[in-house]
Amino acid sequence: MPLPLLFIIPAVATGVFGAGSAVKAGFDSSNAKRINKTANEIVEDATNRINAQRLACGNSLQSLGEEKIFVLNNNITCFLDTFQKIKNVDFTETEGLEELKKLHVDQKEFVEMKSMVNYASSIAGSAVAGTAGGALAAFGAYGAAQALAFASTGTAISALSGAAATNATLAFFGGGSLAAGGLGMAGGAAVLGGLVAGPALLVIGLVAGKTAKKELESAITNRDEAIQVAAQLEVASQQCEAIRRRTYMFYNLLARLDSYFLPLIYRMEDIFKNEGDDYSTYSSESKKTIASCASIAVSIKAVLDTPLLTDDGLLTEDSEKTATNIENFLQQYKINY
Amino acid sequence: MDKNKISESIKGTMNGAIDAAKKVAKDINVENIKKATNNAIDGVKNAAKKVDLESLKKVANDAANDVKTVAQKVNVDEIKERFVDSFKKKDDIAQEVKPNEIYKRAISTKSSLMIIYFLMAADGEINKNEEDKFNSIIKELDPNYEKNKDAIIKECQKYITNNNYELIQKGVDDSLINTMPTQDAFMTPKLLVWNLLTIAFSDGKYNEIEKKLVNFIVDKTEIDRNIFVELENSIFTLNDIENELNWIKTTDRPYLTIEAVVNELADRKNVIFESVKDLIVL
Repeated sequence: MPLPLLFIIPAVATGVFGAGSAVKAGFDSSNAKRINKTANEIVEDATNRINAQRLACGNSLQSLGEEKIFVLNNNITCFLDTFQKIKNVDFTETEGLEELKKLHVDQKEFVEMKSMVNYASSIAGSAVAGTAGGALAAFGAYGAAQALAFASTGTAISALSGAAATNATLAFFGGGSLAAGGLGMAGGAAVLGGLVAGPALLVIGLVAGKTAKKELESAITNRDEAIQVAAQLEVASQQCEAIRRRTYMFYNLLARLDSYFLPLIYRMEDIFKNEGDDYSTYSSESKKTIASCASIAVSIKAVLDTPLLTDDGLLTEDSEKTATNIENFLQQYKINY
Repeated sequence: MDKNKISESIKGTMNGAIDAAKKVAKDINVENIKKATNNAIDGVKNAAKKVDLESLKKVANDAANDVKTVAQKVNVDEIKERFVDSFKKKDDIAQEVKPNEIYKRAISTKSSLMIIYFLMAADGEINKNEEDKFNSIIKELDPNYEKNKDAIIKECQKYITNNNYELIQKGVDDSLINTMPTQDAFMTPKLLVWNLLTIAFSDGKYNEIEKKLVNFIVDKTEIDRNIFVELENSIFTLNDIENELNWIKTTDRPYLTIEAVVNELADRKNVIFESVKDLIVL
């Protein structure tokens, strides 16, 4: 009998980042004592950690961006195709779904959803072709309104890619070379709300380069300076971790909402086929199904609308509130397949 | 010498050193030391009648102190301390870990297997399906453990009687406290908790008893509560995706219509799995 599919054996977990990384043996090395380490070792270790964190963070934002595009291009599109054809929709009389009576589903919500769908479809082609660059990460990080605003500056993909390149934190997550002289935008502006700046940013670039050791020796001349830089990098590492975890939280919430959405969409399509286009004539069971489907759609829109990062590259308070609200919604929601 | 042989060799040497130290510790009996010391002192006293008493007293005291020092030197706690030190030298771990709380950083493969067995037994008898699962887990974690499988199960059985949850929890507690991880045979607490969640969910259910036991381990090993909640959420999400995949196979929509969804769901499972690895390792 094979292992439970999700079981992780230790060799897999500890080998994730390969040789040369400070992340060894799965231990939390965030408070490593450095009593006997040289200045170089102190800074190299901290830099390896932050590099691992920023790359993982970039991947998480890109994954969320891809997921958002898929949801918009597929299930939201299917939902709108049928839902907008149904007439006389009124959830105030829906039995058993108290929250839905408060749900004001107006035309504006669906116009916005349609705009998002159009926007996503223009990005999707490039994403498949692998030319989306930082655009996917930007789409993951931004709320829908922000992303749509960029569209006014050019084609969706180029506008988002441009935004990703000019936002210091997104550029920092982009995973590109930070070798000395190649810091680009990230070098001139505050990254992660200013948590990584100046000497620390320079050091990340030095360690990443080929001639790291000699340049590092001249850049960090004493242990005290090394400890200060390492401390700054450590704080930034923790911020990267916080962003990564919030991003995957959103990824999971969207995945769960979407997993409930499609079965309801199919049922809605069947109801439309069998009972016609007048909501007021539907059976109470059918009305409940349509209402549940709409509530999931609105919840998904709430996730898509919420930005994860501020312009300065810090986590938004809104993202925490949305995560809590959707978690509560999911806990009360039961799907009958 | 290839990597596997090298790690086997190191493991064997380390285990041998630990066993030898334990044996020495067992062989040193304080009563015998006291008796030997007293005999030595008596012998010296007798001889002292003929020689300078003050000088001899000093010699006897020094001899007694030397014996006490040797007896104190070798004990099981020190073995564990040496293990912790070896990690500190070889890896970047430097958080202070008391030798008897090593389980907060590393749990031996043997203890991990026992805890997995306890989880399976927590909600009643272990059925054939669970037994097979356990066998496959042992094979993956360390092929040598297949030989010791019966001994592990026998040791667990001491704590599994009459569906007594408190006794099973005691078994888990003892497994953690007595854990003796080695460099090549351990799991981190976060990794163990994730694997316990996958086992709890493998039958599609995560009952209250399983939740209680996993939460006990989270508290005992002092895993960050927020990280545990995120691990749980990941499992819930994977479970929902799996349910959707099972449902989609029963729909009457043509495959061309649902193909993109099926592929996307498979991708999502991979992404979530990678996010769990990040949570455990970073």
